[in-house]
Amino acid sequence: MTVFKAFLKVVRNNLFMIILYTVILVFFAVINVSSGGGTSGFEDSKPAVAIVNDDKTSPVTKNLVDYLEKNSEVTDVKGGGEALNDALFYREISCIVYIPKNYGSDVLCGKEPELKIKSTGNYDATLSQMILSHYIRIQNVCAKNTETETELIKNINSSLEEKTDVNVVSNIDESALSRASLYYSFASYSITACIIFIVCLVLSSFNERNIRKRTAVSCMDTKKYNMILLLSSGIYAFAVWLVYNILGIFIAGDVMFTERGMLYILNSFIFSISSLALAYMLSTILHNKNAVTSIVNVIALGSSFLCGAFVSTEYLPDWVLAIAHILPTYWYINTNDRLSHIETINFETVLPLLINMLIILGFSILFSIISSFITKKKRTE
Amino acid sequence: MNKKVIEVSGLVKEYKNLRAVDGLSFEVYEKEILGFLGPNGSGKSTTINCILSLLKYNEGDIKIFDRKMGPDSYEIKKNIGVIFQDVAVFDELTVYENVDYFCGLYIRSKNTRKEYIQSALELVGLEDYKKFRPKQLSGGLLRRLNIACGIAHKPKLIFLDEPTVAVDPQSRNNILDGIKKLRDGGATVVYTTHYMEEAEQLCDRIIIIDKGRIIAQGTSDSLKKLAKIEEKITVEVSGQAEKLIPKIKELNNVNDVVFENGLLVVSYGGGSDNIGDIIDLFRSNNVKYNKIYSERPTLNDVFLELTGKELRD
Amino acid sequence: MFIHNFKYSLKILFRSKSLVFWTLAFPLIMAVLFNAAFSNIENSENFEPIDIAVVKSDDFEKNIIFKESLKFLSDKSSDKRFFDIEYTNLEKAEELLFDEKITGYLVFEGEDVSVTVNSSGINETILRYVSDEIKSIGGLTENIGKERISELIMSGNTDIDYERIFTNISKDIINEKQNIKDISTENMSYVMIEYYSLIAMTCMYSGILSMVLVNFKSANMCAVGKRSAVSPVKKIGMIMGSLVSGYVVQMLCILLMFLFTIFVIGVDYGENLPMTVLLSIVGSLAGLSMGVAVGTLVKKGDNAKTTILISITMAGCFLSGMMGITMKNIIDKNVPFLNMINPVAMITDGLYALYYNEQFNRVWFDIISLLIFTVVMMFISWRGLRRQTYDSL
Repeated sequence: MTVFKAFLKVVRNNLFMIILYTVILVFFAVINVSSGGGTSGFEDSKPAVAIVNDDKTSPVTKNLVDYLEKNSEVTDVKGGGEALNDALFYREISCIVYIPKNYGSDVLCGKEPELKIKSTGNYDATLSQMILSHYIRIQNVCAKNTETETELIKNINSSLEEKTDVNVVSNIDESALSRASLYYSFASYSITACIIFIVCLVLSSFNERNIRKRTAVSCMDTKKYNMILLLSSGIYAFAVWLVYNILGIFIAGDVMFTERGMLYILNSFIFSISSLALAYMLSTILHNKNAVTSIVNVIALGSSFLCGAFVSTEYLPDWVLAIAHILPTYWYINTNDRLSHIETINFETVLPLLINMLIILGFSILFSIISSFITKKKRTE
Repeated sequence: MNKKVIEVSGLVKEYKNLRAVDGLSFEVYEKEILGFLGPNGSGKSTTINCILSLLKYNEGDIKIFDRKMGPDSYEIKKNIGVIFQDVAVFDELTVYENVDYFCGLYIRSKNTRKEYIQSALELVGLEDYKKFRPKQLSGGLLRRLNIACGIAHKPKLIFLDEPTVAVDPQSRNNILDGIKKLRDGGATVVYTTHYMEEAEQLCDRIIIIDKGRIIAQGTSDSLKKLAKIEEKITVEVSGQAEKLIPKIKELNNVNDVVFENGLLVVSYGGGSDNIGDIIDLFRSNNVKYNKIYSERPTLNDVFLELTGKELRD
Repeated sequence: MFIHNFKYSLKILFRSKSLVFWTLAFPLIMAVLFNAAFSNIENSENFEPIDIAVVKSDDFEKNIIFKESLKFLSDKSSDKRFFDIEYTNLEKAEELLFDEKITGYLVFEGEDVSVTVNSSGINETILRYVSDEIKSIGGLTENIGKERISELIMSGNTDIDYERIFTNISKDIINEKQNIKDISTENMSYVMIEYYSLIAMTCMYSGILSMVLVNFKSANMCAVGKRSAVSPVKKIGMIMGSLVSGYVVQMLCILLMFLFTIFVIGVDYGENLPMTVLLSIVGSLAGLSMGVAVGTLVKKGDNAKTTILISITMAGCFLSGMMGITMKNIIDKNVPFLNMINPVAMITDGLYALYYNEQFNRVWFDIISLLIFTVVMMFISWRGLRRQTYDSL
């Protein structure tokens, strides 16, 4: 009981850090859900565009603006030029269209006036440029063949009416799933940080030589003492896991109550075990509290960056992914990624996920073996 | 009598709900070693910190070298050396660098400093450890380094706040010898401790304090007179001694008799050959004993007499 | 005395493992991690041809406009290539789609075309737009062709090559130039924000240096501080000596950071490197002052203070976009107040303004904000800094 109380004391003293990691996770999750896109949003097929219109009176120009409003997300950026540029830089909009003065009347004369655009050069921008050039092409062709304003507008719009039928064959809700995957992948950072930080702090302070000596001669026998330490760390890790899963249900919603959701939860549970084992291993090596803070930051941030917790694995270079294989986080995130893509849950599709989980368990066992090896070696010294 | 170096009058220091120093007044004279003796928490360190202007105090006057002491009294501070209870050295600096850094706060000339550091390291016996880092030193050596850092600039007035806590006997003797040498070199020393043996062995004059008040002061011998005992005879009894107690009480000069766990302790207020009386009594009554020895009273007895409690703990 | 303190503070800082870790090693490790995580992200952000399939059939062969347009759009020699097309049968196309090897496939039935995809997304939308466009071109060709032909017939021309007329018109339409000029700046790499927040982080970590140095001179913080307090030297003088050494060490860390990111990782800071360096020099001042404030105002152990400083810095970095680039923009737009008190944001914002569109006004505004932050921090810690006597120790 005294051991457990000491554990709780360390937790209380470092509650600030734990809350910080959690707040960052929630913040990240909420933002990625509400901004609906950013770097990896595929569900958004209407690119965001801003229009700077200096030709507000012409019906021809108005028709162009109407068209853009219909086919893209025309965004009103407050604050003028600088804010527009900022919005473009942060990919809030993919493209800015500058419509010059007298654009409409110039079009009507067949002058083919110049439109200026600024774009980010990404997929969204390609799409918005395409939407725009589609219109301009038709407008140019129609302008050559028509005389009056109303006829021009009529011809353009009738040509634009041509639509292709689209059949969608897959019907999984990728957006809800990618939300869950995003959350759980990012959670690997918070889980690793919270578990390693606290467990290492506690265990390394208990392992400090003089305390070790004192407990070695105290009435409690060493095995039982170690068991209690391990148990307390386990309870703590379990609590961390539980909290993050409850948050997960809030953020990802109903998905969490399906078979798929159970797999997310199981995956994170197994990952927590490996974090605990890693923390246990580190605590046998580290004796200095300062070193704990340093190592925790390097390990948590390092594994998150290398394994795709912050940046989706599809964007990571191959050499990084190759290195990432030696970290349990990689397998954990791989499972999350797969979960958002598989269409039906059956043995065949779940098997690779189970293999991933086994690999993570393998890591946990490896960490435990290493730590018991180190402890034994230290005891004989 | 020598010149007054420190003059403290009516010093009061209150923490929120504790009167840590309760109207202390005392003087310290040139070239003496003044012992500040008292149990843990009696207000020794607080008093020292007030004298050094590290702590604000509620009432009282403090003069050092005949001048009022304050946080900006740099002229006074120049001639003071302090060794604190906690080891105050930089882990990142070597032994030599540590002493050089602190000495450098007092002495600007590099050459003088070199000389001073050398003699300080010799004084505490660390001259072979110049290039060591504090972490590589044992507890005793670390304490010695702590002292070297405080006295390297050859101060006229030295405060030592429990410098021997948790120190091995060899280092302790080395430290105590060093302090005597400093006094012999002309320094005035204020020494706080809760080890009465140290105070007895080292100090020219002792102030005993408890709960922030002075309960006695004087030389070791004059203090012991306060204990109202001159001699203590202890007998390790192996036979029946209870019946002897009334008879012992009737002996000359006996103040008190205590018998516990086979130890018979007899306190005397004076007289001579008391031990012979006791031996005679045991022999004539055929009571067996293993050992019998006589002691002079200690400061602990004084403390016990004055406060009703032991000095330690 | 100044030099004495300066010299020894330098020695202490350089020999302290945890300080060297936080101020130097950690930012460099982060730089390596950033490079690992972000070196590819912008390449994959750029548009790459979309893989699609076309189901071969007689109807497709007859649809000249589609056939020609698709050929044009998948021409490997063109830099406007949109598609990599596999011409195949329906079964194979379905299989490719199921395996997510293609975005979608086109099926021709009569004159009509349909697109089959897995889900809705950007690539899918692009595919649909292209198909729409080709259909529109077809419609336009037909309308214009009809007019041309009727004009020819009206003018009495009987020898009409219908197919050539239609092909020419559709070619004209396809080749119709759209007068759109791209005036985007080249400096669009938002991964730079990451490196900027890294520089900002390095600046702020100088706070750990100053915090430790101030502690060493404060009697209420540690034993060494007591020893300094009883020495015949003014506290503020000692502290200034130490702080200058802290700043020198910090400048060295910043220098190494720049050298490492420029020469080892290959970060291109653009043309305004001198201003970038100036911002980080001022930023370090802000970091240093924050450390002084935490050092004097928080009465806890060194470890707790380090944790506080690191947490504040990391939270600041998070809010200015280190863990997700969109964050900075969201704060800029919705909670601009946070930027006014977050020194990390001041540094990254200045660097961003320099890099992206050289708004020197904004850079100077940020520099002044940082100086104000520094002054405020020093002001609130001034009393504690000068203080030599305490209520309790």
